[in-house]
Amino acid sequence: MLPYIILGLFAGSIYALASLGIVLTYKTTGVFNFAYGGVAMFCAYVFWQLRDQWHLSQWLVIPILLVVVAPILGLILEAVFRPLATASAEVQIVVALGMLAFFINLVPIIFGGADHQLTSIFSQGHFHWGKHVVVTWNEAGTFLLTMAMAAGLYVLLRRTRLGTATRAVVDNRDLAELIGVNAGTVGQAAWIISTGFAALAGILLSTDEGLVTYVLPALVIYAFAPAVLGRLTSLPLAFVGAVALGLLQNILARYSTTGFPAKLEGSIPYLALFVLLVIYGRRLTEVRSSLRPLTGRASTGSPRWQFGGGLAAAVAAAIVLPQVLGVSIQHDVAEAMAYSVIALTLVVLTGWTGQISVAQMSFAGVGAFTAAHLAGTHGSLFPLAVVLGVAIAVPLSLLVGLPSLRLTGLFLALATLAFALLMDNLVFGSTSISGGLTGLNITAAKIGPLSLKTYTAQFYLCLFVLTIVGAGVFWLKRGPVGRRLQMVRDAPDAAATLGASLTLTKLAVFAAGAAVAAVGGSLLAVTQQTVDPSNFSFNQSLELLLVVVVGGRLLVAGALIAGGLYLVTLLPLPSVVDKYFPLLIAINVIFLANEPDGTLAVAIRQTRFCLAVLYRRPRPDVLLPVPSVLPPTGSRELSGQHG
Amino acid sequence: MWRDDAPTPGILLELERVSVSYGGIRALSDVSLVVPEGCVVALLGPNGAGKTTTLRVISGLARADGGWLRFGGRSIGRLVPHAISRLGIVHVPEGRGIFPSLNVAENLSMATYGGGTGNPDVVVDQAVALFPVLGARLGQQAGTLSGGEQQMLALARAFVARPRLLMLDEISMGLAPLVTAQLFDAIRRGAAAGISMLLVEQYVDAALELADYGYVLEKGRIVDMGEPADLRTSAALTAAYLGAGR
Repeated sequence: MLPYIILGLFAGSIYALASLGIVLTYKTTGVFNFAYGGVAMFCAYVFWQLRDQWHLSQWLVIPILLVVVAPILGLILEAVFRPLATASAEVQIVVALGMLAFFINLVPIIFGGADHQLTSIFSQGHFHWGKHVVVTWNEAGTFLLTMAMAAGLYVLLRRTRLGTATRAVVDNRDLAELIGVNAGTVGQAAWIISTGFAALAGILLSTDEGLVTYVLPALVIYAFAPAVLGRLTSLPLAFVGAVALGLLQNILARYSTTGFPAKLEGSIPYLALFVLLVIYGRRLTEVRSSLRPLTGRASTGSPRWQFGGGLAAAVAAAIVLPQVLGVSIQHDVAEAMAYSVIALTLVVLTGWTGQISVAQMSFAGVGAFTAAHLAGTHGSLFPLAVVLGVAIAVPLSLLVGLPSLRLTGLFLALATLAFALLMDNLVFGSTSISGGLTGLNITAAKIGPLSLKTYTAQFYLCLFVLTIVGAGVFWLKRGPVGRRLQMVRDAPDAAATLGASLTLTKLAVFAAGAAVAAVGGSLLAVTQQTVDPSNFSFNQSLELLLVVVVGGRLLVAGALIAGGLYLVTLLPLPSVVDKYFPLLIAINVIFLANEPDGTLAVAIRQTRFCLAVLYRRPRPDVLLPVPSVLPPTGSRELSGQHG
Repeated sequence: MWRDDAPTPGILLELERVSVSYGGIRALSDVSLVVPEGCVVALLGPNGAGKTTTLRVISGLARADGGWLRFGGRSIGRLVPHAISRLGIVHVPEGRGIFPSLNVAENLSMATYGGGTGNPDVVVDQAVALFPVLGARLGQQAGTLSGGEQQMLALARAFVARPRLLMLDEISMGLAPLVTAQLFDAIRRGAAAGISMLLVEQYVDAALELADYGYVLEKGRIVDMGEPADLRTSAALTAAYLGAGR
């Protein structure tokens, strides 16, 4: 047993480092750093580049990382999040997720996409502890180093001026400012320390697990569960929880080396995250409570006109597009429309109720794999498979939604994140369900007599479903449900006074979103013809959220733009586009998350503004406001002895 | 003449036609007032008149969207709160102006953060001299103190920060009369020692007794001003509180 405990302490101490970093910035600035794994990965690659490529001594490289690279990254993150201090939780989450995608996509561009093995920063050997226990220097060194860092953080917070100032800012930011504490500087210090911890955690994790682009951020998400155990504010609880998590994982590993239990081992942190969120429930409150609600311009304008316009566009597309587009592009457009169907569920969820879900592609995956299993061999079962996919996705969504919809923005986002990663690990990762790395084929789907083999048939099917769902979303928005959702988004507290009916509404919307996503997923399966688990992973859900934000999360058209952006990745464009496109999306999100109408709306507004300036036809909305200091009026004699 | 930074002799703080809006709603309109060096000035008025907003705009927590604010001849309208604090304005906000999870000694040592000067130990000794009851509780978390002790802590921290201007917002709110008397006693001693003050207080009589001068706010405007003796009989003050005749 002892060897497993030692392994557990080793793993747990790395998680502890990451948990402390996450809690530190959340406490001091109110920002939950979803990008933590991305930062850790970036720093690990910098370490690899400097030590293993440029052959610098690691005792030079580690100080460079901690004193130069991490502070710079920390200050960049701080600069990104500082203007969002009073923005809604939704915007902060979207930007943090955008940051995560930014780092994930930046690393392959700078360092190449290849995976690497890193040797430990400690010496290679091992020593005996007692008679039977072998401890490697890597394990011992990692444990001691992380303990030293944690102790250092404790001393910093308890015994130094900066520490007292930090705790004062956490207690009462305004009061600390009134006393002369620069809360901005305290925030910068927190970001710098947190990023330093991320850098170390990244190096230590990648010397253990290997430097793999997509694995490292997911590993750092292990640290989210301990952070939530401390309700994101308690550093000691986060620390203890992280070590306990490492122990639990490795003790379990003793009893299982293969099969489902082994897979469960990797999923325990996600499971723990989800269970903790459910147990804490409403007791989890966000650090910042007085956040400005987000309002877009999309609520103005005539829905009826938009509805008619949209329907006309659909009919026009049905007639014109197949004539103009080549067959293969027609097929890509069909796939993009299936993607738009899934994107529409996020417009309703995120755009209208302000709830962030990073699990929509998991629900889509349920539909896709159900379709592949049933209709892969018996094409005529496709309609049944769609129904069955919905029938599986809805209870799953209730499983996630029932306990977690009581949670507010950030914690709901974390719950869907845990769910998506669990689905990746346990369901889509299982060969019997997903067909392994090659995926499953679905080539002969039929609806009654109509074969979906031809691209044209797929095109019309996707267009039909997209039109129906789009019309349904319009109808939803105009009806009482839409108004309720708007209320939840604009004034959650006022909405809360209306009681349980809103929870039911939110739950219904969440379940309906999952159902529609499942339908969209089965459409994707038909158009892609090979259902590959990596197309329905957490990373894909994240990408979906980001393109919907760029497209405009308040608008039905935003989902269509999201589909259009997806189409860009399908088209045979020069590889430079493929290389930089996701990075551009991420950057776009980081800068425009405050614009719920999306990039296009901003572009239109700015174009209009430029035109107005160019043609000197001032519109009412570009007129200057009336000066607030008016000339003295009759009340002058009362307005002060100098008046 | 208000834009230049030449100090007016004897005047510590001056507000000239200051206006503040919260999301389109006017909280202060054209408020002008002065706090002369070494004087205690009381701000009176009913709930929602704009007293707290006036203090918040001076300390930088709220932004003025019109008018000028000058402290010691220097324009402070564009400064952030911690920078204003470092000029010597100490604002004890409404409610309990303490850090509940820090202990009493740490709370007091926060007084040395403003200018970056002062020795935490000296500061603690001074505070205990002011309110001996704090001496026994230096290691205790401030959030576990009684309401009166918390307010004493807030006041003690304000005094030991050596303010050029002390702004107190409803320091007696929700406290027992005996505790309130102790707090007022300390304020009186501070005033006698020459600390300039801007007081917001619900007890009009107590405030006027302490003050050298008073302003009456109603609906974000100054409706009357004068020496305490004049204000006691002011029709505008009565009307402001009772809502009669206007």
